[in-house]
Amino acid sequence: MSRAPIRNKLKVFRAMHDWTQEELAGRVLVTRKTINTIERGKFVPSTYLALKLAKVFQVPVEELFQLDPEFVPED
Amino acid sequence: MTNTIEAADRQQLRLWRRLLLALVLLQGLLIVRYVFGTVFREHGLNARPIGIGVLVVSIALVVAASVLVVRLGLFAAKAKADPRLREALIDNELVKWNLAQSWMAGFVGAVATPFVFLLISSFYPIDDLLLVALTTIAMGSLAFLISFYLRSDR
Repeated sequence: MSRAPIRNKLKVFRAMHDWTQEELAGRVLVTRKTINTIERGKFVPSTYLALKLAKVFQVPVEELFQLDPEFVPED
Repeated sequence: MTNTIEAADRQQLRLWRRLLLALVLLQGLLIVRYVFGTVFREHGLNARPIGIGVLVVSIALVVAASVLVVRLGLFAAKAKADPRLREALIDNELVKWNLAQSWMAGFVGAVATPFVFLLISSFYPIDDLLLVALTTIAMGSLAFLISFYLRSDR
């Protein structure tokens, strides 16, 4: 759950739906601060919360969260 | 419902802020009492009025802190009874993450305090081991609480 090389498009999708952080937080049952820290990349949500967010936006989770392109898997 | 969650979150944070303020003031008073008491005694002055004053304020602060702890407990019980508030405030993964991270600050606070006393003792003899032990526990706890509060209030 710590900082990780993961990018997210939460802010973009939120803007597309014209929702405030507070509105989105209410839809996935977290606080506004949780959404804020995720958007700023300060906090990486659990799989559960990531899936809930994807469901709210009706997109696959990987469209909302992506690994940093510089990440290279170890052999 | 969104407003309910945010209002409850703000209320909880307000209680944390007041508790933290009471504990910081209490710790500050204890340091003031020790420093002034020692200096006054060394100069043959009567330190009793300061001691009594600090005691009265300390008791008031302890009572206030106890009330706040009870209120925080009641708040948590109320939030647990509501499934939506429970998920948003109690089972919130950011809160759990903040708590886990704050233990490190508490540990550093507790470890650093004896070293501060060690530094002070180079210039001024400190023979009260109970003071050192209690201050170490208090500073560790305060560092934990301050870290948790600051992480939660952003």
